[in-house]
Amino acid sequence: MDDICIVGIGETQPTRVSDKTVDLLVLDAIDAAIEDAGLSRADIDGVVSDGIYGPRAISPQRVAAHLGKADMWTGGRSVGGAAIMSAPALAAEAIRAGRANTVVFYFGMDGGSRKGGPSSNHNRFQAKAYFEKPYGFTGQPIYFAPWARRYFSVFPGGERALATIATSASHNAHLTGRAQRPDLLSEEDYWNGPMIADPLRLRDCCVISDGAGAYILTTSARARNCRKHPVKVLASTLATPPYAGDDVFTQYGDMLSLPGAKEAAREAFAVSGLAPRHISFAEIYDCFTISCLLQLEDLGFCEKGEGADFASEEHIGRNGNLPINTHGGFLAYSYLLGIEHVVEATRQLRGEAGPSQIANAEIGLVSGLSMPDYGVMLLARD
Amino acid sequence: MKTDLATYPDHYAPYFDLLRNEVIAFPRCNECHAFHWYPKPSCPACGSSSLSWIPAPATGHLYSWTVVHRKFDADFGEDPPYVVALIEFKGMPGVRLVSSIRDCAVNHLKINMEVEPFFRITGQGQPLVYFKPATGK
Repeated sequence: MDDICIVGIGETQPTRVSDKTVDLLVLDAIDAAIEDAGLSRADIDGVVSDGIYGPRAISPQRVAAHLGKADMWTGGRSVGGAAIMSAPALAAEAIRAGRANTVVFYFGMDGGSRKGGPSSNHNRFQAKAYFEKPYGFTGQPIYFAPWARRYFSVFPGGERALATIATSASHNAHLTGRAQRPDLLSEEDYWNGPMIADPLRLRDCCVISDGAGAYILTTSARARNCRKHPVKVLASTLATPPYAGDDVFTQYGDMLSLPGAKEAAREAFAVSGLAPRHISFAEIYDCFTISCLLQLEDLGFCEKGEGADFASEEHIGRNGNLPINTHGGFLAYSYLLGIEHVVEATRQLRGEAGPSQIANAEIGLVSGLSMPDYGVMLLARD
Repeated sequence: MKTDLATYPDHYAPYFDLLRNEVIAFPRCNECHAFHWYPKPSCPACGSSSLSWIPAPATGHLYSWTVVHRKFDADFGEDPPYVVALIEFKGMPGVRLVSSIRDCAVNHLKINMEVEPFFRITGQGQPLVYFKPATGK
């Protein structure tokens, strides 16, 4: 699908609690992306988001009204992170069918200011009220902690890898000058951090954020008229194993692999004709250090069980052979379910990342998890 | 939105009716014999709506757990630290029960340790099941 390019990106300043409502943050991000592309609002004739969060933050109709265009093509797909990676495939279908020329993807959320925090979203699952909440199984650290314990019991050394993932993210975030956790986390700081849900410590857990981001998709032919160097979308895939969403955190497989990750990656590599060894950097859905570690294996960068050795500074650090989360990821930059990962990957491929720019950014992998859905995007410098 | 936990959707009712009588049971498909969890109106493996509720063995095994140190859910009555556990039962693949381990120091918890149930009914009439280390009785 290398006829589709990202031509504009926008994001709001990472913050825990914004003084703006999420709908206004989304409009800010969209306008920033339009400006970045050198386009005007009138050029946008398609709007796509995920199927739940985005439209709840602000309806596609309101976005269309903001853009002032009649007969806007709108679409929604999956939810959260998996949607952010797989929306380009949906937009590409609309563009190829002649329904739209230039499509904006938007995503915003109020994880920092929403009552009940990010996990309040899971109250929509009926089984949760009956089988989980009565035992205190509510809150993302609680969902992922049993996975970490399971991993540690099967593959010794995992604890060390989590520390490396956390300190590496902190280092990258520090360089951006914009991150929510701007401090430089030492390994000692990591181990001294308070337990949140044992074995997950404070810095195994991501930040929570209010904010929004957007990116603009069009054909490579139109991309040449835009202001910035286009970034090609080589693949945009979605995999959905048969889990209801309420059961996936406790019932999926052996809790050593994340649902859909392997399948979405396999398809992304198949359609692009690439392999993990061709990827020069990766922005991975690092809601927790443990989920990041599992994905390094599930995406094919190393074998299952080898993640603990792979997640060393010499591999995943910014000078390693696979720098990951070059902006600090959710662990240190912001937690907007991956829209900031797409924005960052685009910056890296354009050579626009400033102090956090890595060398030789040619092909980037961006991953999005929203259990049980999983999405993968492969992006390349045009 | 608070859910009234004393009443259940139809396909949850057998679990809680049995649990009220101190029986832990899980749904198994009469056609393809696959277990599933949480309860669904029909078998997610083959689609059959012919299900039987099979009682669990007297003890289970601790698949994994966490000790929770922060308050996440204002509706949950207990203060941290508390243990959340996933329990598996022999002969019931595809089933992990979310519960808690009580009467056990957290540094004695071990993956795969044998645990036995004990039962409680909340003030709202909701049956609950907790686990403790198996006594071998």
